Amino acid sequence: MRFEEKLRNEIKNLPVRGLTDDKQQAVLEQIRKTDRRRLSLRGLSSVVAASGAVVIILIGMTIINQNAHHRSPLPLWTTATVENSVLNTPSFRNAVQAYLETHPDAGFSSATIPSAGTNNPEVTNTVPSQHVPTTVKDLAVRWSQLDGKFGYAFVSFRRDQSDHVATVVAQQEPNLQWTVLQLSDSGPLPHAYISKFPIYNVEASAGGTPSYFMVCGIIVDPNITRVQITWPDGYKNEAQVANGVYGYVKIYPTSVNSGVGPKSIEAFTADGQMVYHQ
Amino acid sequence: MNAYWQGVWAYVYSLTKDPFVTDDLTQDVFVRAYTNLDQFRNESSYKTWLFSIARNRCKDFQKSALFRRVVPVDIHRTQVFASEYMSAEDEAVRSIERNEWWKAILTLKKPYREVVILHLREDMTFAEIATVLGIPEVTARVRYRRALQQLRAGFISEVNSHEI
Repeated sequence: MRFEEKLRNEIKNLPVRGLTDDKQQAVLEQIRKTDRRRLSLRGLSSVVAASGAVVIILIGMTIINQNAHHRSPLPLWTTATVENSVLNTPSFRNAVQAYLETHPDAGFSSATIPSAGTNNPEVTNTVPSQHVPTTVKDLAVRWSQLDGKFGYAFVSFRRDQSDHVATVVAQQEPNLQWTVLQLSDSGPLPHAYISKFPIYNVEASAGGTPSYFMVCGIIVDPNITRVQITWPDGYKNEAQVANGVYGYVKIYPTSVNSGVGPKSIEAFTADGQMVYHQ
Repeated sequence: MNAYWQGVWAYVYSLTKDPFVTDDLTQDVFVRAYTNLDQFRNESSYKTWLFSIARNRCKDFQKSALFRRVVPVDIHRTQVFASEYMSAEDEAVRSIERNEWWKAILTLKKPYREVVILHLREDMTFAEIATVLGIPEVTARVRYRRALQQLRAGFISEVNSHEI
């Protein structure tokens, strides 16, 4: 048998994950959500269409409620109010919102933050895909910290039908308005994957002014009350845990290399049990 | 969806190398295909259009921060530490990750492995592959030949090492 034919046979028999009922339901549910939005718009043009949309919305809501824990496994998205976040102000949110809407591709690639992907030819060789300007909704400043005129924040928002988080570094101008210096959008969050872990980490750093290393993350396990960060020099810091996330920023003098990340991140429950160690 | 699920899953996995991420992205591909069905103009087959969506979705995801900076660390460190989070479903994933042929394919550079999957698993012609990837047909052929050479070389090397 020729090698090519053998290879074809082997590749056709490669193990893959099949379409389970759960996955099929998840896809259909998202399609129903889309249908509902479309129908609700069309419904404005006629009473008959509107009636149909209402029926579909009601059915859709029933299904969504029944499967709510599958759809939104992250407590982050069910947190109704955001508290204890110093930069959760209208002026800061407006600045971030405006930045997000004018920078639809504000991932690590467009920020001044050094990217781990820069040494990966598979990442750097990718051709940018087309982006359609989109609106940003439900922006929430989950964690934030002030250091002089610089503000550091971990925010959540929705773009299209996807949930996102982003690290933000901004500077307050003399007129008290905020200017976003660096913003790193996570891209659409893979909920099913993230929900496998007690916490999910996002890191961002930059040299220059300001020079910093931010360690933020989503708290997936609601029992976690404390997150401890240990740096390579052995120094430990407690990250603030609130609003479904945790966050900490280590600020360096401008001349110091800030690209060194934490040695470990540990998460604990209220009774002191460690449930995560990275 | 039934007809194309496994094919799209295999293709996405060949690009992301992560089964959990692949699950999410594959679901998303089908949702996007449905929501953009009115943009399908019969200029290509439904299959090539679907795989084009899959490819664009993977590119978007790979540019994201979580993919670049966080996911690889979490995968390796968390799997070692948190075995209690492994389920029966995760065991199925392990069998995929342990599969020798998957391992061989995933050692190829991405432009090569996607051509191999599309041609050998999905039986796409090089013209169809060129449509999905947005490259000339001749480039698709060249990539396939090189991929085949590399896989053959790896296969021969493997056989020799066992014989020794």
